[in-house]
Amino acid sequence: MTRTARPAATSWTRRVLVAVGVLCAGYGIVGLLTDPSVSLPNYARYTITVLLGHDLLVMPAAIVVGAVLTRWLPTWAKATVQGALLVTAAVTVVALPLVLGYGRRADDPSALPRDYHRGYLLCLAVIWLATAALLVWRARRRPTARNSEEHS
Amino acid sequence: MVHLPGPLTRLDPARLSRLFTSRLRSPQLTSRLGVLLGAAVAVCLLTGYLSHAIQHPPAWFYWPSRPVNLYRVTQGLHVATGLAIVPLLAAKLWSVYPKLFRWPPFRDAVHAIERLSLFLLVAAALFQVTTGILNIALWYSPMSFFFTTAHYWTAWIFAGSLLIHIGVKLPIVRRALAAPARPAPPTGMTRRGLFAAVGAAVAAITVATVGQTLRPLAGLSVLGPRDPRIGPQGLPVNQTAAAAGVAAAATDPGYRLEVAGPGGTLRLSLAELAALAQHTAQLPITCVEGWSATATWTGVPIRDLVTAVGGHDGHSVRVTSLQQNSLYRVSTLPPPHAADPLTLLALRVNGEPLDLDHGYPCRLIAPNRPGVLQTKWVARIEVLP
Repeated sequence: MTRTARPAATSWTRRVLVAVGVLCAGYGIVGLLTDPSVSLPNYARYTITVLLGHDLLVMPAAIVVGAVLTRWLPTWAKATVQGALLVTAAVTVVALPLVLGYGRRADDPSALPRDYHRGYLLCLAVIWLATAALLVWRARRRPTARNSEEHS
Repeated sequence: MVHLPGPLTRLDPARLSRLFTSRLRSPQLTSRLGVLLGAAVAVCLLTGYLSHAIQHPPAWFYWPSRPVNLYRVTQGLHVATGLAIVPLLAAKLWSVYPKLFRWPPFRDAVHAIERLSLFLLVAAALFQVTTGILNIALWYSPMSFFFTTAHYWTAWIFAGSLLIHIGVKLPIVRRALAAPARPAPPTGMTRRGLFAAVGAAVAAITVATVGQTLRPLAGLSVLGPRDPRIGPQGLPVNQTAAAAGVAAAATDPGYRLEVAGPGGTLRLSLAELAALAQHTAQLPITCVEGWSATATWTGVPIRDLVTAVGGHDGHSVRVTSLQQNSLYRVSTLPPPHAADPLTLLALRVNGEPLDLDHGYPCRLIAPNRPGVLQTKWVARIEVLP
């Protein structure tokens, strides 16, 4: 099912997609290599850091944290908390650079003008209050649901 | 504490991908996430290219001066969609994460090339999303390269490797989307549950940030990198006069605006500019970083100045700032913007003389145009032949 189709089955649509893709990606790569304003060693270092950081650090950490935090939850509550953790993680990615606030400028009060610690905490409060409400609603409905098996 | 399925001695490369036990992962899930993510990426690529083309117009490109708020919508959409990609991309990468550890890593040369193109795709996607987030948070130091050009060229690589990816996976996607729904896993999250969570994350991120361009939501957008209500004269500023190094030149009483055209050159003091017929227009200032704010600008229509030096509609107009050594020192008004009666050399904003940080003594403000092209501290206006 997940096997890549063999070239024999290649349709024209697929050939055109791949050919146009190679042209676009090639144009971008040549542009990167020839544009002096892109400082290539720094660009490469950043890209590799982000790629490896995501694949070997952030993603496994997220999976492990998610598994640990939901491990001892009853089955009926697990999915809701997993969803809330996903929302929390995504909001954190957007909020982190603002919370750290390195972009603030002494001469420009309109750059990062808000209290982002407060804003981030407010977001977390909204996410987890909504989750709690959802859990209460689920718990009340539970006797009618057929979730009596043990969790795995 | 984490219970790994099987003893750790089984952690050999051939078994690594079997550590992932979620029954939620499937070609159906990945394909559905991929369709949504593909649509979001398409919005970002199109609006991004549009913004690029407005700033560096190719010969075939035409950009009108109306509707006044069009660029505000496209660029607001670029940033909002880019932020909404965060949970979509996270879910998509999670759904295929075990494949990263597939063993042996490739079957044959074609498969190896395909997997390498995936590295390009994932690297480009992560690059675009993270640099975009850093850029709107004004945190430039982790990016020790020029953001604008790097983001532009990487977008081409992103688009290209995405097209290759779609071309390669098309049969799997078609089969997966046509397949009948599988019974939901007995425990844990369902596919619908995952989509609900991704949707909730998109909604939370959007509400928390989009008020930087949608003023009615400014009070709710607690994570907006800008607030359209905050700044000198109630209007945000991207570069201050101090940062631009123009404070002395801009406040010099000997300041004269040079207006050059086929009929000669005028040199006007601020008092002489203020004595010309003044017009008022409600126009947004729209930053490429995704924030925008409407203000009431008063000044001399560029069209009047063009006429005064013997030019007419159909000319382009070059506007030069007092600012030295900046990429955005000079901007060119294409004919539709130069001839638009709403395009002003503004002397006042919201009823007051311009703040130094808003471009005192005078600045350009034109409809449907990125903020970086709305030149501040104008020194010279030149009608191009």
